[in-house]
Amino acid sequence: MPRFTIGRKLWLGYAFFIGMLLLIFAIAIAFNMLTRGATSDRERSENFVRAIASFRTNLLTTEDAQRGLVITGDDSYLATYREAIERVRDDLAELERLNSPAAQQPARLANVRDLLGLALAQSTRAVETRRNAGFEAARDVVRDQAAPQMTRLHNAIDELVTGERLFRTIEEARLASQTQTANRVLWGIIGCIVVIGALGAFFLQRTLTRRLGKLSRAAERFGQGELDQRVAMRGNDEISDLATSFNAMADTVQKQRRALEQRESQSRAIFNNAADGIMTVDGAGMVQEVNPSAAFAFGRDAAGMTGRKASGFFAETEDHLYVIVREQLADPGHRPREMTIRRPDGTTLPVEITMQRAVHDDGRPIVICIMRDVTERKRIDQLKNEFVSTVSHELRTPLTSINGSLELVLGNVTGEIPTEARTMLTIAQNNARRLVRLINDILDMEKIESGHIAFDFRQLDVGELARQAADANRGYAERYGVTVELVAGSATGKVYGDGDRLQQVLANLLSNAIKYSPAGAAVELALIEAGETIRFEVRDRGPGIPHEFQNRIFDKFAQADASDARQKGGTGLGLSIAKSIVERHGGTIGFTTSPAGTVFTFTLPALSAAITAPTAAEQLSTGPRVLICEDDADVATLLRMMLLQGGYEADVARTASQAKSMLERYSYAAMTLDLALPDQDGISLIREIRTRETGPPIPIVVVSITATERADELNGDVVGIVDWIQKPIDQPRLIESIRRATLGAERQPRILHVEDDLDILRVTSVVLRDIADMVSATSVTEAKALLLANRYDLVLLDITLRDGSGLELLPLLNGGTESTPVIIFSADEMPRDISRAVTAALVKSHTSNELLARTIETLIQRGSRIRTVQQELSA
Amino acid sequence: MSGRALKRILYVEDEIDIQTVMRMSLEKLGGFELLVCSNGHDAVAQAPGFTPDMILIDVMMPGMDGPATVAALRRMDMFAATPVVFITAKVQPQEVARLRELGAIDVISKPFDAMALPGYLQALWNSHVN
Repeated sequence: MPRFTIGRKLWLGYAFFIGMLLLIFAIAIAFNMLTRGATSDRERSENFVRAIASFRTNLLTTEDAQRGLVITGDDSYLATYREAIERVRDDLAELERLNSPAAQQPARLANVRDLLGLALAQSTRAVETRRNAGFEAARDVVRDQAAPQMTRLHNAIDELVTGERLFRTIEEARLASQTQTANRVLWGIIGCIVVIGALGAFFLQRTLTRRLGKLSRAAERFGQGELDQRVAMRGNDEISDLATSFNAMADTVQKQRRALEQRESQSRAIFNNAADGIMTVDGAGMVQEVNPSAAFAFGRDAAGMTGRKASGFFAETEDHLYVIVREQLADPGHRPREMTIRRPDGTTLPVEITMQRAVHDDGRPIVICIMRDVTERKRIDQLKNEFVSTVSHELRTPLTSINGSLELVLGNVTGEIPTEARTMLTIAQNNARRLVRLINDILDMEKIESGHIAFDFRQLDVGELARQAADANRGYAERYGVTVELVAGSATGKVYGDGDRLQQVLANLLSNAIKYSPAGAAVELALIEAGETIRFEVRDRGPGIPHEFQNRIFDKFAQADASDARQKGGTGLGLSIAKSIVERHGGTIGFTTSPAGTVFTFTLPALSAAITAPTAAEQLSTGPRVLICEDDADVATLLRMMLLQGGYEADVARTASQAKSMLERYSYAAMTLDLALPDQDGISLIREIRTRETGPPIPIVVVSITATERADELNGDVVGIVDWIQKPIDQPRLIESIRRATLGAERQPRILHVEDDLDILRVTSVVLRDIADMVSATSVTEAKALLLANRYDLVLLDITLRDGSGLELLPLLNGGTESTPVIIFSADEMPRDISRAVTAALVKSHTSNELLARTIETLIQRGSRIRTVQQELSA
Repeated sequence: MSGRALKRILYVEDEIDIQTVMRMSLEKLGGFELLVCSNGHDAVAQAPGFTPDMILIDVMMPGMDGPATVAALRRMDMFAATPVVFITAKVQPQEVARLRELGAIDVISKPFDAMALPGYLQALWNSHVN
């Protein structure tokens, strides 16, 4: 069955209206035609009446002319008479043209025509008679014949006129009746349209408005949360379709809402019951939500924590927290970081914390922190450490006696021993040694895995590393009749690593290679540059590694088989330790093997060319200047390279006294400090710097092996320590710390004071320290160097200097796109032509300290305004 | 002190077996004059009469341990500058660092090489006095 949809209904409506309009149009046309016919007939009738009138007039004129002639006998009437007759005939022709064809009119006109003929004939006879027989005879003709004939003619004309009038009246009546009918029909049709239209609208209203209203009300209530709203809609059209869709949508939404509610309640349950503490923090670092476990860990009331700064609940400094948060958020898969909760009662709680970015319901970013109490783990760690330490002691003590005794006996200290006894004692000694190695390896393994091993990272020459390793293992190789060879043409370069630990790795690989080599074979050690890494290769000619053992080779206590282990005297931990050490250096270890031999390789990240050859980077760098205070040349170089790569310039002071003199002479945005300096302890150096400082405190980043332990010593009594960085140095953290330090420093305007009188320099630095960072130069040469290297917000210039005139510097200051404000501060009066090139001139003896400070303050502010405008213009 | 040879060594160790090994190593093999004490108190009591050139001492001992004994000896003026060598079975780096901080010129780990020890101590002494 075809659906009677709203669309079809509407189309039907349109079709009906169009049909009706066409009908009206047709009727109007018909009516129009009718009216037009009536009009032309009316015109004809009027013309006809007018023609009759003319006919009568001309007829009377013939009579008058005939009478005139008959009475007077004057022939002059004859012309008039004939003319009138012509006109009468013309009028008759006109009447015949215009005569109505209806009823007896044609017959009447024919009668008029016949009578006219007779009348004119009698009249003409009267005229003839007058001219031939005289008046008397003519008068008789007129009286007896012509006049009566004429009277009959007039009667006939009257009949014709009457007939025409009658016909007219009938026609008008018929027309009026037709118009009335047409009007009725039109009004009828219009009435029909109105009625049908009204009905249509009514039904449409019923179909659309009412049903749509129903749907709309349901949707509204649904939107307000009444999710069980459904619409029952009769019919089979678009609206019923819409209702069905609405119901389906409502079903889905309700189902999803239920699922969501279930999940939400699950999440809630997890949040509330998780053993781990969960805390959410907003973008401003404010606590948003705290679960009961977290509140318990913090020793606080959850409600009391929300809306407060999260950092306040931890023992770490804000700076330290900032680093942790950054690190955690930068890498979602980051290892948990250990932090310390500070409780209101003063106790602390170690927790492991992971952070994850998330988005709050309202779209704001938040950080979810999950914390695990690691007190127990730390306690167990402590126990394990003590246990391992104790066990190693307890095992080593008897081994000391055994080993020592055996060595002395075998060393013939107690006298010569028989060969058989020597054999037995050698076995005992070998096994005692093996036990010692085993204990050492186990301890190493434990230390590396627990992260307790302290790696002493330095720059190392890989060639040197390889030579040492080869030399150290030659003696061992000789026992197996094997040689150790360094492959010629090996790569050179530097790595950053712990020399002793890398020797341990190489010794392990070399001793393995030696053990498994056939006598007379060579073990080769090669260095290969591979992109940004250096690869160490140890090649032997041994039997290769059995296939089934290959994927366990780096596992602990892994050896091809137990008898082999005893035969070769290994502990089964060497490769596992080697792998751990290499990985701690950021490298990888692996091997390739065949029955013809095995190659073990490990890679270490090479110190890049930029780091070993700094000059290019150095020249490019124009960043803030950092003082590195570090006695170890290698570490100092490394720090310098790290800072250069980070966009800073750096100077190195190797001793505390050098650092102090450099700090006095130059301006630094920040300094890094090693606590173990040869001539002064770092902490006391910090204290001294602080007391001697004249300007704002220089931000200090402590970079030291003992950084974290000694942080407590200062106990917060020294401001301006930005960070404590443990060696080995983590470059991103170093750069981040320096960046934060120098951000603060850059806000102060920098003033260069060129002056050779040290007393004046001291005075200005004291006077101006609160408003600017002061840099001093005591000669033109020095000032030039500083001006070429750095930008200053203002230059205070003395004219008379040791090696020339301060005015020589003016071209440097006014050249380029931006000119630096200059104040001449000199004992001399200034030459007039110079005054245009400088901003202000003050004469030393006439200038009070306040005036100097005020002038500079004004200029700095104006300078910053000028710069702002320039930036806007160039933008 | 320069040029003086290493002759007299005070050795403090609670393990009798190790004492025996050490006697064998240092007296018989090295030819040093050795005073062996089994605990810190004996060492503190007997050291002034012996006037050792060097003190070789175990770290972990019952009662007064190695560092405590060294501290007690250091309080006597005559031992204020006597070189001390610790000998220990605990060789963790932080342990070694702690002992060096106490003024030890070296820390020898157990088990030691009894055959090489006399030569090693002699070398240590030479580099210390020069």
